Amino acid sequence: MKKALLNLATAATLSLVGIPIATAGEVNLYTSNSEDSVAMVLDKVREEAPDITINVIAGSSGTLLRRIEAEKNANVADLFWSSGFSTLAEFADLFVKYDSPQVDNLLPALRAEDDPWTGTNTHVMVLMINEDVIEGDVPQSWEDILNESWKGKVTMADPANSSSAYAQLYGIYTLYGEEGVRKLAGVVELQGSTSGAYSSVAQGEYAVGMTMEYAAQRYVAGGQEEIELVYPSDGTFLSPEGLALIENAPHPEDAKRVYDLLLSHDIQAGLVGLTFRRPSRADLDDALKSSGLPLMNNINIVDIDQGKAASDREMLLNLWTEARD
Amino acid sequence: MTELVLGDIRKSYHHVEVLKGISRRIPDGTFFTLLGPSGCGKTTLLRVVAGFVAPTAGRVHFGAEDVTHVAPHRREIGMVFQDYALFPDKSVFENVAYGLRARRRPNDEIKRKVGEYLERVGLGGLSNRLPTEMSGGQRQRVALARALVIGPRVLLMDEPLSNLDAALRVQMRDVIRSLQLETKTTTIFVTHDQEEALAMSDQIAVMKDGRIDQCGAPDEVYRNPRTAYVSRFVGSANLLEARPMGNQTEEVGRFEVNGTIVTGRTMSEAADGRYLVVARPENLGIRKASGAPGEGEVAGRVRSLQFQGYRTSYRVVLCGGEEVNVETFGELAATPLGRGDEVIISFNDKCLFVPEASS
Amino acid sequence: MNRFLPWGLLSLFALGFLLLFIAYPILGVLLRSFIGEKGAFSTEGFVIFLTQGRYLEALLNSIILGIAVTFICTLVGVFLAFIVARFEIPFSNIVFLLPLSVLIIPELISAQSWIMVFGNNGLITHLFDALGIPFPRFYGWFGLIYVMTLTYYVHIFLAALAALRGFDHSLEEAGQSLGTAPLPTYIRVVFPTILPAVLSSGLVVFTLVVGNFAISIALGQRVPLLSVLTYRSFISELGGNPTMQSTLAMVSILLVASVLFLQRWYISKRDYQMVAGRTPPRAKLKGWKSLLAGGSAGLIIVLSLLPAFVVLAGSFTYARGPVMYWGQFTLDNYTRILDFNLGVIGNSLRFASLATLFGVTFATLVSYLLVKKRNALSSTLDYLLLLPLTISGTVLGIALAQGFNSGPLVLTGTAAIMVLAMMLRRLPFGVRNASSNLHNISNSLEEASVSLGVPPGRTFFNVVLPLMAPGIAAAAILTWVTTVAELSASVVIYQAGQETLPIQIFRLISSDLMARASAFGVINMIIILVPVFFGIRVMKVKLFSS
Repeated sequence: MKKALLNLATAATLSLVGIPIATAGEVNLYTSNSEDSVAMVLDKVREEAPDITINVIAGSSGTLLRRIEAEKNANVADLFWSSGFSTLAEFADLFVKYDSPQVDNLLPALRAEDDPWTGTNTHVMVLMINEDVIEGDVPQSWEDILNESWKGKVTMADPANSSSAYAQLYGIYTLYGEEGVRKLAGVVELQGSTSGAYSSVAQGEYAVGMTMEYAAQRYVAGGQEEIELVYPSDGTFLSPEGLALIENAPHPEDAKRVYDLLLSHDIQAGLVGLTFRRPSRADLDDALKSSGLPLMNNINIVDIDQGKAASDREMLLNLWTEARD
Repeated sequence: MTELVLGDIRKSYHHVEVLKGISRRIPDGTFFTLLGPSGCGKTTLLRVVAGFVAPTAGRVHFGAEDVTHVAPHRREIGMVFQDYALFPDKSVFENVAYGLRARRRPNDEIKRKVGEYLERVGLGGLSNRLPTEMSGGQRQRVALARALVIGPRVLLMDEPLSNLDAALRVQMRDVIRSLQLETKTTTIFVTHDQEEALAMSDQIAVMKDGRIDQCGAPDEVYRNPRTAYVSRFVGSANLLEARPMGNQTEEVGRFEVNGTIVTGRTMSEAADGRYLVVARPENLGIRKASGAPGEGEVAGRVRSLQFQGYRTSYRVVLCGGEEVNVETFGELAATPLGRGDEVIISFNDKCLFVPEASS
Repeated sequence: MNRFLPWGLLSLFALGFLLLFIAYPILGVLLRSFIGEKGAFSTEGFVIFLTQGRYLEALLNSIILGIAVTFICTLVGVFLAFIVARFEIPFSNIVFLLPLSVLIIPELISAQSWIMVFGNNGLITHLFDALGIPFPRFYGWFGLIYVMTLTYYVHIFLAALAALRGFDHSLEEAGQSLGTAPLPTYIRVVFPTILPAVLSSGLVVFTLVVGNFAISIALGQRVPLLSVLTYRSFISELGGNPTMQSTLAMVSILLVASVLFLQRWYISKRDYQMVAGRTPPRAKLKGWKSLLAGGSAGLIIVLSLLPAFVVLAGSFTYARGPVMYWGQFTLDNYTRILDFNLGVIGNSLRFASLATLFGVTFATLVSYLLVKKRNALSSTLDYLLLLPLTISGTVLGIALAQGFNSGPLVLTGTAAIMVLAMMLRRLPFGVRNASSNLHNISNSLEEASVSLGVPPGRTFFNVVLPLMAPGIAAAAILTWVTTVAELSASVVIYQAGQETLPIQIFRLISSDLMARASAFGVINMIIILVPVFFGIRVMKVKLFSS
């Protein structure tokens, strides 16, 4: 009896240590992307590089990066796909630079040539409008919503918790300075999480939400007709996301092939149709059109220095907190 | 074949001594009864022998082996509990087989022995029952078979009959005693019922406050109680104040009881000189009053009586106001006196004198 | 004395385990709440808590929500118990499914289903839209109170029903014979006597509401609540402030602990020894009274069980992204799980079975030590076992993650800490279940076995364990049910690759992907239901005896 219990305990302990064991011809992909995106990538890799098997570890980017950090001494991960540039910057020492031949096909802003990662896609900050709830004219610019008349009708995520909301705040700061930040603070209502901003507009709680293009577009594509996307005329901000090769990856060569594939035309075209995340390649106008997204050329974009955005964070958040009190 | 030796056993709980030095040699095959009221330490002593209670001091020997520090499961004892303690999820057969299985006996031996012992306690054919489907008496028989089937060195019984009704109790006395005699197992039997003790035992130890007050064969304890306590606890006794006449160190004492002179044996000397006379109801004579009482006689009046044919019991109020029980047998009993009759009570020489203060 | 050593050693082991995994992490939270950014003693955390409006607002909101939900739960629960105990109503058989519904429908799924009914894209919301009537906003106070009431009233219902059933009808008749009409009789005689049971279950509801994470985060976007704030302080994408995390955790511990203290004090004050008398007869109602009583009881019951069916329907409903097309059916939501998420199901099964195995083993051992082998350590063990009751899952998660992320024992990020968190949360209840039969097992049974030559350890397995089995089975099933549904602690400490079904559901709800969340929800409920069904039907385990 005692022995049986001991065996049971041993088995239980062993099963707690469930680390995938990687061998040649395999790539361990740590990804925060949705399962259907990952499935599409797997299909494509099976086609293009049948000798590679991909083991997928999925999760939110924060938990994945922390896991990679924890595993630093016994690396399991080969590739990380994907997270915002500013988040990647915090974990930069986990990655190693790889100059993919595909980089030349990317939009310049997403090449990240000085960083150990490469842009895969970019979020575009938009105003998400719920026409059922809005009274009067639809705002066309950031400047429009800074007006006091919008007080209580505009929402965004908490910049202290959400990196996309911080990108929005930093964009406003870039365009309209401290004055703009104070005006925004007087108008906007905050949501606890990133998703709160778009779902509350979709629910009709707010007329306008500051959010990401893809998130709003899902409702439009899903058939929620009252939802409209406005690309602010005074210029919008990109929040690019990238993938990275892990330093001391167990399978660097195969990982590089998958890296290239993730930047390839077919996969990026497929992904934008699936997720409405704007691809990093410059040659995907057809795919963008069929997804219902405007072309990059038709959007007024304000250039944001991501490095400066990161270094100004504490200052700006303090300003923000003070402005809201 | 186990002689049981208790050497100066003491046990204290939180500085309260519940066993105050008990020494006794219990010969092999003896049915030894610990008799006493609740709280006298009899169960604690039994559990010391079983090994469930570690004595604060003293030794327990099974024959030559010192088992004081042997764990209970290695002592080779059989134990029967007041609440039967049958395993409720196991059949009668499995209950009895339990100890044999623990000893890894072969299956055919287990089958044979369990069957044999179930027959012996009169439960052959019930081996598939569950304990919950049996009466109290049947359960205690199973418990007895379970304890004896392993051939224990010592059989320990903790008030095994107290949960049974009166008729069953008498019947079970026979079952237990005859099995004990058949198996010649040294047995310690704990009870507060003096009738049980007298009926079953080879030896009775009357316990009081953590000590053995008196120990001996049932008739000996009954006939010659050494203390007032023992005389009260074993059998019934009339205890009356007795004033010593002269020197009391001799075997035969003379005492003044209720204004008359009574002679009898003095069991032990009272330090303070205060004595009680122990007069069993059958050691008092009773007759209709005719004239003044003589020596060893006291006048009284019948307050109540119970006529039972072979025996008549009287309750008599003595002239001093005290009450005594008197019993008559045979011819005398057949012609009872009436309620309210003036009578003369006479003490015979089987009366004893014991110190009034307890030891 | 050496023969008592094994039990003493086991007590010591149990004590060590609880000290290490309950007392130490919680003490750590307490200490860290008093350590400022520079590592020295400071009350900075509490100063911020008291001066920055949003923290106090969250605390106040949590208390208001707790009081409101407890109050409405009491009304609903006592009302339903009264109807069920005293009247013959058409649904009386379904009523006995109610306690089960609490088990098989996790809070998260209940929140999810009501969002699917009343939320954006909700069934009823669409219906109202089609009729041109704007439906009121479900997110916020209304949704929180509504869903929490339907989730928690069952606790009060069960307590009130038990009290009403045990209530000696002759007392009531005595009241009536003295000239009071039935209704005033009820108010004067019956309700005061069931009050202790109702109040103490009400306090349980209050602590559940205050500690609630799943419903709060799904529905309370506009209402800052303490539990959500605590969670966000820890999980913030951009790194949080440990002092603030600890301070928030500490505040919620203090809140729940003071409520528990209040409860104990109240119970110790009044001790109604109700004589188990005649169960009062159930009256037949006629006409509109019957319709009203039956109808309102029926409505409560239907609303309680509805979430399971909504989620079931949702799981088969076609959806494009967040938008659901009710009426168009598909198996896609399930095939996706089969294709991509078997690992999530595997994680849930693995963590829950390990937590159940270890939790029940430990609970069995501890309950045996506490009931049968009391020693000098026992009362400390008793108190340590109360501790998990004072902390919400989120706080437990934070305490464990902070307590074991450095030093000699690093567990943060391992599967072990997931199992540990799940196991600890249920431990006090597990011990209660496991010891339920133990009090009835006479000590002489063990002594009989020992006297027959079986050593104490083996006696435990031979004699005691089989008799504890029904209690252990109940503990195992209830532990399983709660660990499979566990979200609030695991969501704080899980790592990539360790997602469980509730975590996955939570993430999908956050992204507004209800159809897919529903398919996971159905699977989650099936995994919960199978052992419950097996236990009740096949093994005849009594889950609600205590």
